[in-house]
Amino acid sequence: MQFKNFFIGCILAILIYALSAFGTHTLLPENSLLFSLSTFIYLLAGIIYLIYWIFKWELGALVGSTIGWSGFILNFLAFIVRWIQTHQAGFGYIPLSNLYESLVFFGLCTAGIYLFLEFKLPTKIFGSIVFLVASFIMSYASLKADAEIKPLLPALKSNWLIAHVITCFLGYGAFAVAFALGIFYLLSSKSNFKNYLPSPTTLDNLMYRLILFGFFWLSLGIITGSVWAEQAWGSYWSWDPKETWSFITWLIYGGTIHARLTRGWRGKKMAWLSIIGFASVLFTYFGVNFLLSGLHSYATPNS
Amino acid sequence: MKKIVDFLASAKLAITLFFILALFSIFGTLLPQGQPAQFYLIKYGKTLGKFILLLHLNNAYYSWWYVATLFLFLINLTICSLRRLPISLKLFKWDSSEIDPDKIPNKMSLKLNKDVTRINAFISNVLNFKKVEKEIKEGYLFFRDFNRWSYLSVYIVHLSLVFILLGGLIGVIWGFKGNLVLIEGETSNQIMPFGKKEPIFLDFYLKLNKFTIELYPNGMPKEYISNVTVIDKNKKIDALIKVNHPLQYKNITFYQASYDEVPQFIISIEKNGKKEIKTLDSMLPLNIDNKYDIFLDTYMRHQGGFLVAKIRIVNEDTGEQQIGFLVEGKPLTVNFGNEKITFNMEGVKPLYMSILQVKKDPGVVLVYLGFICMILGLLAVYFFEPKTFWIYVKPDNKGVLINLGAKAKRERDTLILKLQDLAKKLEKEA
Repeated sequence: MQFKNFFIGCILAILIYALSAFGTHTLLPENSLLFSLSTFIYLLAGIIYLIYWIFKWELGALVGSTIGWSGFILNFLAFIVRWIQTHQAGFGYIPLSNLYESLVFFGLCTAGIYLFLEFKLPTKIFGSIVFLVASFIMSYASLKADAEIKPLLPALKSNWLIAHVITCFLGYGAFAVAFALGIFYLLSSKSNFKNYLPSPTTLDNLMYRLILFGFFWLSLGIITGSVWAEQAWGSYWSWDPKETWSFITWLIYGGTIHARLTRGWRGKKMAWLSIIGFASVLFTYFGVNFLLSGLHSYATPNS
Repeated sequence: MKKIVDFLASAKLAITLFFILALFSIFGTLLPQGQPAQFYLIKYGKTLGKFILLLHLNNAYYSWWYVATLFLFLINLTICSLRRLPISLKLFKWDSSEIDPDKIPNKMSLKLNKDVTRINAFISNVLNFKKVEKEIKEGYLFFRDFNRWSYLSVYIVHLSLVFILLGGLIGVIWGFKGNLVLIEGETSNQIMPFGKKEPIFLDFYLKLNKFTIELYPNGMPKEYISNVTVIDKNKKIDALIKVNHPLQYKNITFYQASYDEVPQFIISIEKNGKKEIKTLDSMLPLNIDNKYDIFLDTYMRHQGGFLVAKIRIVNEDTGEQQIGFLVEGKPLTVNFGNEKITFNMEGVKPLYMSILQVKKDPGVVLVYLGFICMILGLLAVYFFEPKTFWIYVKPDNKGVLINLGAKAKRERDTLILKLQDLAKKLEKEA
């Protein structure tokens, strides 16, 4: 059966949810507990994918993917629970408004994009890096960001917020997976890795497609952010560091796409551009919040 | 000349500009932008400060080198697109039946032992291919076009960037942005534009009736609301301005940007044994007996936390004036000849001041049009790939030979899979 991993993953996720609900004697366990659980499940999935890859343990592909799906579903359930809990706190909002919420959503997007892509992939080894990255992002959220549910500041009360965050993170998630493929591509030229990896052409093609996908969502993310800024602050573009860095990221990926289409750049160059592009994504997301100041200050850890 | 145009139209230049623009954009994010020159000289020292000012790194996105690069990008984009447009138009108009049946791209062959008319009917009616009407040497040629129009979709994306950049330019030239500061009860039409000294006067007025801050139970701000009235000659319109809910009137938009609190002093004035209670604020002077004007010059918070008001009393008849300081619990007495006035601060009432950002930007429409074009264009580029499929049916004495082939603009890898699917369908279902 083709969707075995998905179905067993669903059942596992529901079981874990039921157990934590039973353990805390409530129908809605604390959302941060559920997010932490999915962090560990992502880590476990990553390790199993890694064992499958390195030791050629064939069953590991199915096990890793099933566990990955259960982590993804649990992460999604946690999102819904947090949504309900914001309403219980008396000021419901869609939980996409601060650093913690955006990080756990980043994890959700990265895992989700990979898992849906996996149905079309010739091999499942990429799960190792993707799930390790997802688990790293999620644990960063638990350790460094404030998980408390706080009411929204006036500037954040806009439907554009939801469109903006969802589109941006779909883009970031795709770039994260493309980054993982870029690393794999560079490894594939090393002789001791060669036997463990699919052909460079497959990697190259997949990487390019993910960059195209990410570029579309990033463009949409910048546009929705721009329209929102126009409504809230009266300026669709104000060269705020966050805006500028998103533009830099857009230029890097835009240049990458054009280099491939018009000049036929392939392989190593693309892999490096995918890595540089993702570094720019991370800087847009973290670096700007921590190192530079600007309009996105509500996304810093202590606000 | 031709060399220059060739250079400006090259894809190499385009790619270089993508990365150079990315690099140039970084500089402005590393330094605080738009501060006065003094700021950089003090913060970064004389040498580095002067260097920053020389290269306009303090206003990087409006500097000559940034604007020039952006402009070069725009020119490159335009020329590049114009040069490629005829090729795309040719592809767009090209008749798929013109192809030589023996030279179909990505050719794939299969042999079927079925009736030719049945196969032809299946290709026309089930697979929805068109039959080429003109005579073909040894068989029948069919074709099917997908998303032919999408050869032009990439130009929509490029055009969208032109729209956005032009919209931005229009905004810079014909628009303005500034602050309108209103204290509760105040009416004004005077805008202080950012980065300029001369105020702009609107041809209508805005009155702030009331400013409200709503709080969540935990004390965090929930909403900032300016209750205003637009006064345009005889017309009066009431409106609420909130964050994320600006007010638009006559192409000018007002945004809730910030607020401040200004104190309003409640004072008692005793003159000739008569005592009155009045409120004094920095907007209008108080008048007593049509003879004295009382101005609130300034106020400051003393270390103990109480407020000190500096007032000025002017005798309208003589022009004589006196200055004094008022603190709660400490009466102030001034003498004008033999007239004695005693002031006493009875209390302080906060008065809100709403800071509205005012903007006129005739370029926004064009920018939004650019946004829409970009979304539609990218959707078209990604999901409506132009593709053409051909089937060449060649009956011979042993059966039917079928040649399949296809071409696509970009996704050539998936074409082979699609052709294999098509071959399977023909084998099983025809």
